Amino acid sequence: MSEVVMPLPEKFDFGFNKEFMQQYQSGLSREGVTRIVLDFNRVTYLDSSALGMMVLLQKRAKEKNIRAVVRCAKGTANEVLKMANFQKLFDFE
Amino acid sequence: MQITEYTEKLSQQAKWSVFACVTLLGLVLVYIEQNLLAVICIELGLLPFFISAVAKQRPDSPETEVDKHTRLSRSESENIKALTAAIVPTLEECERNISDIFSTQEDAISTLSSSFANLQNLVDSQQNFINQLIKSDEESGEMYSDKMRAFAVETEKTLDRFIQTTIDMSASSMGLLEKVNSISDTMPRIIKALNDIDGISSQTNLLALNAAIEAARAGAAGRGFAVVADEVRALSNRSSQFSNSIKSQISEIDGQIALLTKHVGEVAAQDVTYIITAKRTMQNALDSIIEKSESDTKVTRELDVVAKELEAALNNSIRGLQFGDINGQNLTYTLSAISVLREKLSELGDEDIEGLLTKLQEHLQQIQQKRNQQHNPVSSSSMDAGDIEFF
Repeated sequence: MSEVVMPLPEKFDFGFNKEFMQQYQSGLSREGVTRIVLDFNRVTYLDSSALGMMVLLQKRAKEKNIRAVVRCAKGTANEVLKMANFQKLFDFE
Repeated sequence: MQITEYTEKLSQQAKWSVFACVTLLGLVLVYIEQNLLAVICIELGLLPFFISAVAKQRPDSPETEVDKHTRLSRSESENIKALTAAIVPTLEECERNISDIFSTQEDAISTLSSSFANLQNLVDSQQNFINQLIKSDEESGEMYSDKMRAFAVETEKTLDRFIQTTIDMSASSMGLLEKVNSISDTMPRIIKALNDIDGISSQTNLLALNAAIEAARAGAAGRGFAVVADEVRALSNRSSQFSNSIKSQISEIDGQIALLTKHVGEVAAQDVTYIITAKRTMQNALDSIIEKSESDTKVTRELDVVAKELEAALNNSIRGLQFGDINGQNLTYTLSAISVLREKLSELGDEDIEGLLTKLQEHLQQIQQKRNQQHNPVSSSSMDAGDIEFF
């Protein structure tokens, strides 16, 4: 069981879009990956495009039977994720 | 001898005094209680006066001490007259007082009755107002608190749906971008292929140039070959032009894709932090509204209990007013008894004591009969025994 960790920037918004897509595309296409972890440790702000990106990632991961995980979400970021009902899509740890 | 007479007289007077006291007690009771007992007291107190008077006047009455002193009869008769003369005005006074009490009581009772009825109406309308205050719908009786709770739930659902829609839209935009990016990713490969074509065409151009040189050296024999070499060179130049045109178009597409990405980003990237604030604010407002309306409902329930207790108390008060009816009848009976007594006592001078006694007894019997017939509340010893039907 191997996992891919994607460290997220402090301001997780559309500016991170291209990098995010490249990271998850390469991460999901790796062999033997069972978990893809979004590391929210640094994140203090996220907008709706970030949520959209996460939903897209979750869809792609699900297609490949890979679990999507949110790690170390706190403060406003955590509130936004809970408000968006992301605990139904992601494992929180 | 005179002393004996005097003492005899005194002892008779003492007996009368006892009976007079009983009578007075009866009168006092009339004032205080106004019931049958009082009437009986008066009548019992007065009766011995008549009996003793009759005993003195009857020739066939049993032998008593009085017989031995028949000569005293006259003075005793005078005493009776004097007593009667004193009692009659007292009785008249009693009648007047009882009449006054009766009318005062009637007035008071009627005022109290109408006041209580008014109070009952006011309590009723107050209850209605309170109900109107907390019920949002007169017909269904739906409480404001329930309506507010339903509204809160509905608002939360709407907000959630809005958030979900925003995220879904953003996710679709990101999906679109993903596809556009994959198109964009093919561009460098196309450019590389075009560069390869450019290389071929420049090489072809070089070859055509060499061919033209060789054709010129061959002289007349190479003239035809020189024409072919020129044509090949022209083709190479055209191929290079096409390649350049495709490159510029591709770079234009690249520019468009960059623009598209930018626009999609603008649409998809919305600040969602404010939604949290909005949701929290709305939740707090709804919570306090619900809390308020629930406390209103609670208060109203308590008010309802109070109103019911108030109504019960009012009913008890109104029922209690029956004493007016009971006392009124008592007063009427007492008044009539006193009236008869007074009339007959006034006629005592006619020495028709036996007739007086008979009439008095008849009158008492009449009263008794009336009481039995009417099954009236005079016989009631307690207020609770009566019912509200009198009002």
